[in-house]
Formats: sequence, structure tokens, C-alpha cells
Amino acid sequence: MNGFLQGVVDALALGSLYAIFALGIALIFSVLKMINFAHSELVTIGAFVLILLADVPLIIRILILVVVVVGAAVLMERVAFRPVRGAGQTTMLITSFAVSYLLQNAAILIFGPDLRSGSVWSVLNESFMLGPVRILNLNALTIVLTLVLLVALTLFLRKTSIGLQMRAAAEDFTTARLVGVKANRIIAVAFGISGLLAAIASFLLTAQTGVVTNTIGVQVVLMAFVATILGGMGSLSGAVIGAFVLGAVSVILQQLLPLELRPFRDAFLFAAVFVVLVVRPGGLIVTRASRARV
Amino acid sequence: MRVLGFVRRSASTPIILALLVALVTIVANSAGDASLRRIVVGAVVNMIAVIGIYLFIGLTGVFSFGQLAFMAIGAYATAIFTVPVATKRALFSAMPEWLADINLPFIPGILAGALVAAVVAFLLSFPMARMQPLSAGLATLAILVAVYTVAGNWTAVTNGSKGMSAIPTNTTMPVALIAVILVIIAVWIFQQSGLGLRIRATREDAVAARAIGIKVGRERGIAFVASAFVMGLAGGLYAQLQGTLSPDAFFLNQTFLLIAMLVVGGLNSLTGAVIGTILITAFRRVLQVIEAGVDIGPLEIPGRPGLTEVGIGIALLVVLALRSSGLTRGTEVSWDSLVRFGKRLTRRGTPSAAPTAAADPESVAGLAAAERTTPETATAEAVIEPERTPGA
Amino acid sequence: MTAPTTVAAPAQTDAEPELLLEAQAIGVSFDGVHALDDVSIGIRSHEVFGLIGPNGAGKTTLMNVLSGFQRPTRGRTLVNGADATRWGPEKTVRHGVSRTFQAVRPFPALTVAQNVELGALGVGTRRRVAAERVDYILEALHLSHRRDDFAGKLPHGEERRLGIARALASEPQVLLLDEPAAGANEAESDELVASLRAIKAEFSCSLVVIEHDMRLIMSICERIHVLDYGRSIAEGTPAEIQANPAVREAYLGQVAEAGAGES
Repeated sequence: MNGFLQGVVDALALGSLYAIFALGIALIFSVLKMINFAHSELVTIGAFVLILLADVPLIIRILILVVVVVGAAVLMERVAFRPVRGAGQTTMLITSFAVSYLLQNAAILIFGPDLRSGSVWSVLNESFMLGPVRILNLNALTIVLTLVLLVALTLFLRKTSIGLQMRAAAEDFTTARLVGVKANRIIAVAFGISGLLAAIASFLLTAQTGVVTNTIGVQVVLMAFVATILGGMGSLSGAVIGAFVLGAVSVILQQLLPLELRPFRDAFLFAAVFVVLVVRPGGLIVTRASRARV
Repeated sequence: MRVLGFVRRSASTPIILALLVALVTIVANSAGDASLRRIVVGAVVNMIAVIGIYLFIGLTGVFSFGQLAFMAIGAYATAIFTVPVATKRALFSAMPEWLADINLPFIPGILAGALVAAVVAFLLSFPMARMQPLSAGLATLAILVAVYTVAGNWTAVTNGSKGMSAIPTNTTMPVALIAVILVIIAVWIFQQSGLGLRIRATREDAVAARAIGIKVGRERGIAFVASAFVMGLAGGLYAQLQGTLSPDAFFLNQTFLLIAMLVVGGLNSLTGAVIGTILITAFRRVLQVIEAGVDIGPLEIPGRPGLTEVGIGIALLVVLALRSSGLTRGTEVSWDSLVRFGKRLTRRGTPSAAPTAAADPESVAGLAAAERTTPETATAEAVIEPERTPGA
Repeated sequence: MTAPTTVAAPAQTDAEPELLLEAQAIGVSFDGVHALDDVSIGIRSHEVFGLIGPNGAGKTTLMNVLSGFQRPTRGRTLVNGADATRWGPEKTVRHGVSRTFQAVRPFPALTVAQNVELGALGVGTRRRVAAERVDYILEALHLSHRRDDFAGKLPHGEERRLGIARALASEPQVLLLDEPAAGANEAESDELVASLRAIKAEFSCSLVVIEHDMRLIMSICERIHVLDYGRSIAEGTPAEIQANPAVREAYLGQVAEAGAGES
């Protein structure tokens, strides 16, 4: 029983982390219909900020983190994605892949290929007991932050003018433009928010690993892709659900798979995604915008 | 005469491309030392892989990150089929008996490896056909990760992260060159066939394609399997070139490099695949030399790791922003396009007012299209003079 | 589902000619909104059948149903008496019902000749046969001079003719034309009328024409079916339709009696 509860907490924490990543990707996809591979590099940038500035007081470090990563996200949109916006989905996809590759290697160029380590906030690596379950502070923070983010994002999308415009754009950009939604502004704001999400993600991820490499973001972002696909491209709630499903399945596989099969966990996961895409080509939640029209 | 006419109309593209590849390969091969020669052979193998990617992405318009999974499968399968039995027993003790007992000569080994890749693609093509293009593109990413994970962990077959070694090295320059020329010819015939036309129609407009009876999912599936076969072939040649294999050779970095080659040349033409490979390979070589550190007279540039990749990334972004359909803009080089380009060079500014009487759809189309719109649409020009500004 | 032996005959006349293509009591709903409600039509051989109605009347939806792109919520379609409701476009066109698109949807990076050739290859015609057919059809639609041009570069009038040429290449029994005169001026429209007449004669197929251009419809169609708000409101000869008060109301009433006729 305790093992089970422990598993639930682990699954929630992992799912929460995936969800923060997946939200950033799904948000961009919903307005731009582009999979942003370079989301992982936003996380990498954040991780470098945290580790390189390890001596700076935490609050200031977080402030710098947010400013840098949000700035990088907005800049990325302006420099790389805006010029190819009209050129079709494939071109945008390749562009984001190229930006990701470029930044990954720019990190090597600037910081060298070696791994760097440092502590983000040592308190996070301690844990507390909740009844019979031991909870890592970091995991608790991840879960709480995700909940807060979900509520904040929902309020933003439902209550603010720009949030409503963003939802309209996600539904049908052409029509939204006709009623006065400014594309450039909406997309810039979406990238800003995805940058904020990436900043938070990088904080949590770096606190967990304590090291930064030029590919620190890649693996989790791959998982986040899977979560977004699983949930249904472009649907934010779908992305969150997908992330938690994925977190749960990962934890379950980790527990249940025989030892010799554990290294194949990711292969199983991705195979499972493949199966989901076959059974439900549009993902778990099919949005109106993703339906094909003749 | 009739033979010549046929060549000019229908077969000039693969002949020009084959000559170009042979020329570049032989010149580069004779100009450099042993290490450069090895790079040249590697580049030829890369070209086969780029053509393999083109065969799916270029013809169907469906994006895929996963074609290198089939290169990996082809490489590992070829390695397993061609490493001598005794060596396998000694080096890969965990390998199952029946697998260790297989031993094939070079060419059958490579073909068998490519066949394994094609069979896996065939099985995957059924679920793929059900997906929307974007989902399918991401599903291929899932395939890539799954194959990478399996290759890195399935010790019994792939020797896990330690990788395969002691693979016979038969991929020499002539072998690679003959292989790439055969692939160019085969792909040309494929894309000009009725089947190839139907596949290209699904790329142009899937709805219209369905309206005229084309089974979009099926045609995409065929292109997927054909692509996997060529990828498998490239993988087999790669295994027999390197002598060793590790899963990292078929993951995201290599995927990026090969896709960059295809996109820079132009996603939608065979010419683009060939020219993109040549250009990016040359560019990469230059960057690698700079990365290692160079002295230009008094100016000393220190070596910087990562420079090559950053340079290629920037090059790709620039091409995407300025000319997203690549240098060739999806057109094929042909005899007529070259002739026209030659005339243009000799008589600058006076556009040829006498279209030839030839009836080759591809080349004359390129010609006519170029005359009506901006001059840069023409293939040969696109390739040789990419910097010319568009006409008003 | 149903045995194809029972040739459905919803109409009562004994002298009912054989129907090539039928829609029986078709209903289509999108998210609870009825795009089509209980619409039945039957296409006879060698006729020109007009489908008209105000914007949003459901004409294109009906064409999507007839060509297999839209599966109806209710009712069924028959091609030569066989139930075609679940065929989808790929099989429907193979059984002789071909269509064009209002937006033409050519294959832009392929040549005009390849576009037309694909119309034949798509339904499984052999390459050699398809090539011969291309010459013939391009000639008939005055596109021979364009055969080696990219389809994406054609001016609008020729692009529309290409759409028809491609649809004809499958040698259909019934050709569905979705607003063939969209964007055409009067002269082009007249030219189109002549072309369509020639097509009907030379390719001996029936034509189903959706069109806003009343002049074109009235001059070419033998029978006309009128839709309004997804329902059939009239069917008859051009003269009958012109005299029909319900049709007049549907077209004029939109302006005159806004608000009154909501259902």
C-alpha cells in the first residue's frame, strides 16, 4: 500500500514536470501549428543561467532566469520563426529543428562540451514525510507549481482580453484576424508564456539533476512531444492529460517491467504512443481546429 | 537518333546527376589524402541516405524525422549478416545461435540488410497510413527513438551501447559511386512512373488526389517502404565503410545533418538531394578545417568545437528564411535547362524567344515557367547562381 | 448493406429512365445543424442537371455526398443501382462518378499533361492508354498549348478548364461540376457553356452543375433542382423553375423578408 502511494506521488511529480514542458509546446502549437523543437533549448538556456550564476542570491537568479528565457523565446520567434510563418508546416517544423540544433551546438561553442554542475537550491533535495509517504521537497514544489500554473493559465485564457484572442486564434487564425486579432502580438505573447514555462521547467529540472549539458532539455522535451501528441495536438488540456498519463505509465513500467527489460522503457513508451496514434489519429482529445475539412 | 531524343527528353536528369556525382567524387578523391578519401566515400553514402529521405519526404510531402531508424536497421542487419561466424562467436557471445550462424557475402549482405529495413517499414506503414500527415511525422520520431533505444540496449543482437565491430570493410570509393548512381537511376525511374506520379499527386493536393481515385494512404505507404529500402542500403554501406557501429550514428544529430542537406538542395527534387549533399558536405569540410584552428598569415583563428554544427545550422536557417523550397525550388536539372542556361550566359539579357520543340514535360515546363515568371525559377540557374535577385 | 439487385425506384412514373446516380433521402448534420435534410435526386444518362440555391443552401455538401467525400448522416447514395454510401471518393470515381472543385485544386508542381494523365492513372488506367487520352482531352478543352506548363502557373480560366479535363480523364458516366464558372466573365461563361455542351456530346456523360450564374444554368440544364436551407424546394425544367414562386421567394425573399423565414 505504501509502495502504491509512493508510486502515485512519483507519477504525479513526473507527470507535473512533463506537463510544464508539454504546455509550452502545446501553446505554441495551438496558435502557430508548429512543433517547437527548440523549446528544449529554452530550457537549456535557463539551466545554464542557473548553474553559471550559482553564486548569485536565489531570488535575483530566478529573476534573471525568467528575463533571459522569456527574452530568448520572444527573440527566437522574431528572428527565426516569423520569416517562415507563411511557408507551410513542414518549413516551420524544419526551422524549429534547425534552431534547436543551432542552439545546442552554440552552447558547446560558447561553454565547451564539458558537463557543468552546481546546486540550484539545496532545500529542494531534502524531503518530508506525509503520513507514510516520503516526499521530496522538489517533487512537492513541482506538483504545486503545476497546479498554480494550470489555474493561472486557465484564468489568463478565459478572463483576459489577450487570452481570449489567443483562444480565438487557436481555433481559427484566419477568422480571428478578420475580427481584429493581431497575429504578431498574439504569437509573441504565446512565445513569452512558453518562455516562462520553459524557465520554470529549467528550474525544476536543474534542481533535480544539478548539472547542465547542452542537451539537458532534449530528453524531457521528447517526452513532452509524446504527451502533446497523446493528448491531441493543440489542445492545452489534452497536453496536460497526456503528460500525466505519460508520467503514470512511465512509473508503472518502471515498477512492473522485469529488470532486463527496463532499459527498453522508452521504446515501450514510444511504441505505445504509436498505437494510440493508430487507434485515435487525432490524439485523446480532438480539437475542432485539428479536424480536416474538404 | 530516336535513342538520343529519348535520352534528352526522359533520361537527361539522372545522366547529368550521375556525371556530376562521379566528377565531384573523382576530383575530390584524387585531390586529397587518405583521410579526405574516406570523407568522400562517407559523403557518397550520405548522399544515398539523403536520396532515401527524399524518396519519402520529397515525394509525399509528409515530413519524417524517423527515416534514419531504417538506416540503423539496415546497418545493424548488414553487420550481423556479414561479420564472419567465428568472429561473432568470439566478440558477441550473447548473440543467439541462429543469428550468429548467418554469414553472407558483401552485396547479398547489404541487400538483405536493406530488405530487413523495408520489411519493418512495411509493417509500420499500415498504422502510418491511418494518421494525419503531421501526426505521422511525429510518429516517425517515435520510431527513431524506439530504434535508438533498442539498438543501445539489446545486447544480444546489437551489442548494446558498446556497438558492433569487426565488420568487413568493403565499401570502397568505386563501390559507393556505383551504388549511388544506381540509386539515382532507380529513383528517377520510380518517380517518373505512374506510381511515382500518383505519389507526387498526393503531395500536391491529397483531397484532389482522392477525388481522382488515388488511395493516398497506400501510395504514401509505398513511398515509405521504398525510402526505407534505400535508407537500409545506405546503412549497410555505412556499416561496411566504418567497420564499427554505434547507435549514436543514427540519431538526432545525423538526422539533422541529412535533412539539412535535403532542405538546402530542395526538398522536392532528386536534383535537390544530390546538390544539397554536395554543397553541405563541402561547406561542412571547410567549417571543420576552421574548427580545428587555422592560421591565415598573421591572423590566427583558434579551434572551437561546435563551430561546424553552428555554421550548418545558420546556413539552413538562412536558406529556410530566404528560399524555403531550397536552391532548386523543386525543379529537376535537365539537358534542356542546361542548354537554356548556357544560352542565357552567352546572350545576357535577351531572353530566348524560340522555345525548343522538344516535348519533355519536366524540362520544357521548367523553361516555360521560368520565362513567364522570375528568372530564378530555372533549375540550372537556381543551382549555379542562387544569389541573383528576383526580377520585378 | 443492401442487396444491389433491388433497383430502388422512389419515383412513381413507369417510364422512369435508368438512373446513373441517385441520392435518396439524404440528411447531413454538422454538430446538430442540418446542412441537408431529406434531399433526393436522380441523375439520368446523358442529361445536364443543375443544382442551384442561395449561399449556404447545401449544394456543395450534396456534391460532397455524391462524390463520396461526405458520408451522410441519413439516407443513401446509389451508383448504377449499387449502394455507394460507404464507398468514399476513391471507389466512387472508379465507378464512374467524377468531380471538380470550386477551388480547382490542381497539382501545381506537376505539368498540365501530368495533371490530366493522373485523372486516368488514378482510376487504374494503364499508362499507354492514359497518355493517349491526355492528348484527346487537352485538345477538347483547348489546353494543348499548355500541356508542358506547370499547372500552378495557369491563369484562372485555363486552370478551371484543367480541373474539368482532369476529372474527365477517368472517363466518368457522371461529371459533377462545382461552380465551373466561378470568377468568369460573360464571354468566358459563354465559352464554358459551349465547352460543356461539347463535353456532354463527345464524352457522352451526364453533367451535374452547381452554379450561381443563372444565365449559364438556364441555358445549359435540362432539369434543375433547387435547394434552400438544406431542403429541396423545387425540381423541373428551366422554364418551370423560373416560374416557380417558391424559388423566387428563396432568391428574392432573402433580401425582402429577412427574419421571417428562419426555419
